[in-house]
Amino acid sequence: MNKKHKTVKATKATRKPQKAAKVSAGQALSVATSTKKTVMQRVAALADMPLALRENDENLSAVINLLGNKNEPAEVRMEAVQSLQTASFSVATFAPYRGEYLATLRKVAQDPNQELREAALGVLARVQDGFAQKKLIEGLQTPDKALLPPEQALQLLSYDVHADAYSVARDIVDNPPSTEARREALRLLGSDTKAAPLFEKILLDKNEVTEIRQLSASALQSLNPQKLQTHAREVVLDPNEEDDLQATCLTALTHFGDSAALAQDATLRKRVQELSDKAPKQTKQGAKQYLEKYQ
Amino acid sequence: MNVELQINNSANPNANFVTWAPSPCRIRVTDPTGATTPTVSIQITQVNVAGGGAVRFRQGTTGAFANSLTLTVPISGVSVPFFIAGRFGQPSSNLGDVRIQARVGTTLVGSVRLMVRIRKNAVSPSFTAGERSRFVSALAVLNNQGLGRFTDFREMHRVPAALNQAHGRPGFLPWHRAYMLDLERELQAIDPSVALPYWRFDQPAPSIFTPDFLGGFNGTLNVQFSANNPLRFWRTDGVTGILRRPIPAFNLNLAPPGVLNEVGTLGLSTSYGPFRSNMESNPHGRAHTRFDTTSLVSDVTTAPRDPLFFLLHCNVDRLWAKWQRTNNRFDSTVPASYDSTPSPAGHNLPDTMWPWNGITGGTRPPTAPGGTLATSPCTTAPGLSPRVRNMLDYQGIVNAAARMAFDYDDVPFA
Amino acid sequence: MPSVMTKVLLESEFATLVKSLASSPTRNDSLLDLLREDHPYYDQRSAAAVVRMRGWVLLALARSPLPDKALLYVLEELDTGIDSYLVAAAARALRAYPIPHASFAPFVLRAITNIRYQDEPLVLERYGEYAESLTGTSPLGELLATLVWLGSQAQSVRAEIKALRTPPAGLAGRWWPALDGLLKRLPENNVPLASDSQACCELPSGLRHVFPWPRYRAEAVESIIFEDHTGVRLTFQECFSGQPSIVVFFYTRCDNPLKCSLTITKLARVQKLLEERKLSEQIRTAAITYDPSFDLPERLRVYGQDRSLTMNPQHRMLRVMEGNNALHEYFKLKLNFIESLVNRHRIEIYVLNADGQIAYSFERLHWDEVELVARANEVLEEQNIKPLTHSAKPSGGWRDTLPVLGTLASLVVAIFPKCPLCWAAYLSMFGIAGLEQIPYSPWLQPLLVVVVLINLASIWLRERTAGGFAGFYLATLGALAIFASKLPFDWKALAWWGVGLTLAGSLISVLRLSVLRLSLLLIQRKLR
Repeated sequence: MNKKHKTVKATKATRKPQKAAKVSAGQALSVATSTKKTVMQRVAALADMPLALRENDENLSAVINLLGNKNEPAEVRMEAVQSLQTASFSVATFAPYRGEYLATLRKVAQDPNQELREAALGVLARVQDGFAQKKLIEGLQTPDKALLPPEQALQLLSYDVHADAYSVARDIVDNPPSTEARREALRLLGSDTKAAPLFEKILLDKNEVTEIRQLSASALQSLNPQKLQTHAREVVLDPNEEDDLQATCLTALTHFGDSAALAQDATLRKRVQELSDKAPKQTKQGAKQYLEKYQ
Repeated sequence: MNVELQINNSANPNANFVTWAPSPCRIRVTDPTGATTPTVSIQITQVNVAGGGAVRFRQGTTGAFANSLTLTVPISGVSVPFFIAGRFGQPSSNLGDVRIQARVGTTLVGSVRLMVRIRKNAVSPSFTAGERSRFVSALAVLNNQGLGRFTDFREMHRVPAALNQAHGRPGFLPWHRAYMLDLERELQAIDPSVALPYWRFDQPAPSIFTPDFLGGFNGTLNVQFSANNPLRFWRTDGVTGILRRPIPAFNLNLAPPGVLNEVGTLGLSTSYGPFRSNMESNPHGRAHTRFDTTSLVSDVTTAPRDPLFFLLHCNVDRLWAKWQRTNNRFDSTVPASYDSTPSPAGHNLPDTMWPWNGITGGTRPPTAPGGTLATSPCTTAPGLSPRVRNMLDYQGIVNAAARMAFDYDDVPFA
Repeated sequence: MPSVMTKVLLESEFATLVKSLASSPTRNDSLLDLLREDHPYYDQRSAAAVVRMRGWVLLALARSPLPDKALLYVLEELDTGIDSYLVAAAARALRAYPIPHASFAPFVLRAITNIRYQDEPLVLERYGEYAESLTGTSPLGELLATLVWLGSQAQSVRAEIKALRTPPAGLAGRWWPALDGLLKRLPENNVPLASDSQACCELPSGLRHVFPWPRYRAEAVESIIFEDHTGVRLTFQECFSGQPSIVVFFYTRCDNPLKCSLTITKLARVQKLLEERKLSEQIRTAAITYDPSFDLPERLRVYGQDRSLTMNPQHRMLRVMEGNNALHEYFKLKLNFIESLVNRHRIEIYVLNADGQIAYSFERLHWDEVELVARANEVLEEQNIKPLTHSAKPSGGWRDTLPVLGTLASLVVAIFPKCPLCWAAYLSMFGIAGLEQIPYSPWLQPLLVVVVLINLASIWLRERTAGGFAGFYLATLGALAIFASKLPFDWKALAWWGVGLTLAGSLISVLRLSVLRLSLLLIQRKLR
């Protein structure tokens, strides 16, 4: 199921900025659903559709059918998802078709085409659909059943903090199938209060890659702000620390720190002054912002 | 001798901001030492500051603007009114980068610094690095890692009952204008130099999608931020980060595909009804869905979790403003200015708008997050609990008191 | 209160269990027990899994006449549910109630309002299955079927039904035939009778969501330490002693706006009412989070501020720092967790007296701010009339629950001053007879059964001394009648026969013993 299918390329028709559509919904729909037309023509017709969909809301059903039809080209079905998402912004108009749309997306979520699966699971995950959550967690626990790569599944599960994803995310942190999966598992755990000690440990571990330590700083700032403020100060004071991590820590202190305490912290100010004079660009900028606020 | 110059008729320095629409100002003599006559002739001019904004003056509510203005001011301390407007095409980039001087003859008797605070296209170079940095900082502070006032803005645009106050019906544009204005004023309470920038989604805008601004795209769903971008701490619904990925057809160095361009949008109709219903779908809906379905911004319930949402909607509002300018649709009593088909509560001209009206239950959502609309030291419009009809005349063209103290860099005042 | 219990039951096993319980003789009680949010089966499940499980239980209940005791759970879902599956299951379950009642109509209407933009196809026949086509039912379909089932009992909401049929704000055209059919059955000019209109706004007889409590204060609450929205640490005593308090529970990560967000919004309105009535200095308010590890003081403050809540030393937002279990135990909170995060909870509002004892609770359904303030004021006035004393034990006075029986109990005590054990036993009889009206009776039940047995033993001892066992036989018959009334049949009247027989038996035994003692006394005096 994980086999990546050909990515839908930008067509000439979709790249071209659109003029006000003159076609009716019926005309656009008949082109979009016609197997005699080229894929490019059909995609272009669908791109015109949102403008005309409101002329007859039954057109939404026709586009939903197009999305669910496995015999249709993936490019056309992908464009159908985009059109339907556009239509979904009119909540009241779209409401009668929402059920049909969700049911179809559940089918599409199991399609052989990964891009379509991603698209369908993306919509479903955002509405915190139980079906999508179950499938995504199942896939993380049993990779053979995975509909998406683990990092993507974790990203989609992060749409619902009430999804049962923390334990599987912890397992992935312990035994990561890839660095991307580990990073996304950590990101997901950023809303788990029990994970604060884990983020503290990673932040202080100089063997960890900077990106993961930065991510840990963000998570810790939310889960235990006091700890982050303490460690951020230590990181900035440490002459052997990573430049980017120091810049991130300076940002945390500048924007979210305890203003009263920082204004009194002469040691830190002295160190930041040094960084503002001779440090790489990012750190220097961070240092200047800090000094603007606390000097 | 000394004089006091008050911008927006206020002594509050946070009121020292003007837009293209004329701001009411006044001057009065605070120290008449040296004066020999009951009145003095005072000339008001702008001192040019490199890279700064530019303003113009006029004495009354009508008439031509000039680069300087001579006023006869009594030495008794009584104020004399006049107007200042930003010079179209020359907005400020920094706080107080416009300096106004008052002189009696060649003697300087008073001065004030102000800013032509204008909503700009978010691409560089028109939107400077400094503006970008101040904007993301204010936004990050408003969010305060999910703890700040930003949560109200997220909640306002979340559940279906709330979304029906804002979408799918005539109130779409007025509601979002109030929403943008509320957010912008909250940002200005943090940093008064900030104006909401807009994303022109019918043009290439690669500088928006960078790690220093709203996040870079490196193939994964989570956007990347530079080490000192405070948006790396952005947190909504308890989750850190922003999930946003362009659809494969959208090359971030180019304009997003399939989005109706400005000319097309302005040409949709000269009547509000069809203009609104079509533009809500394309370009508005289309711009949202130029990011794939896994992205926050591409779904109506999650879109405000991505700061890009506010730049996107700022542009939607700009298009409405431009359409209003093109077709002179500021007067709510003119039928073509709005869609008067009877609509659910919140969408008719006389209706108050949720959540700023605080009304809950019945035809309105169960809760009203955020309280009344944020106030501005520059104007009293559109009020704490605006009605739909209050949102049309944003420049105060029909009624000068309706001026909301925001303008767009490419939409002039009359 | 996260449990350490692991997932011992697979969802498929749970589904099978529900199926088997549904056909057991004690089906209703067993299934109802599964609707407790704090049931261990829900521990460490995702919110979506809890939805599937609870929905399945509601659907099992819907397959037979719905018992009165299940009504509150069903109406709760219609009142505040935002999940399609649970709302649909609740709508179907309501139709299993023996008779349509006018009071149901506003709940069904509310559910339609809550769910109308989230309608989706559902599979209710098989556990855990999600619809992949339009066949089958949907929450709107179920809710409209329930409205049709209510028929003329929906008269009070005719105007709202008409609005649902009217574009552009009404429902989609596919629902119009059902609405038209219903509207034909509801005469336009039929103004409901006064009694009907009252019925529409009240819950069916015997059902309520406001509960008086046996006022007591557990010793364990002394171990509770809170931190308020400013970071100040306070004991339970400091928070809740000295003045009555209104206490609500919530958590900031709750994604049902009809629960926590609305609760805090309404608490702000309660504060305004207190202010208007000049009670805000005499009655405190507190909002306690279920999620203390995540809801740090700043989060609490911002959440309250966003909902216009007044926060000061008299009105606080709190998170528990120590004694979390004691807090849950004291308030009998009904919720469960996934990790540290709540996966399901009910609405829980309390009025505490000046001793920190719970006087009333408002549970599950939406509560009225005015009524809540009135209850708190009642408690305040009680305190002004009679200064309260700190009590660590149940006072034994279920005053509002059983006022008449309370008087009778006093009479019994007056008649039998030398028999405190019997006094307790009589109270137990009344207690058992009316257990379903008392909150949290499950924890009282075993205790009261023991007391009944003690009563029987004491009668037997008295009868043995006095000679003859008529009183004992009557009391035994009475006890059996009370226990039988608890069986899952419609034998509730037996409870009151049981109480009568127990009283009669006790009266006979005590009178005979008194006569015997009086005789002995006279004999002794004569001998002197």
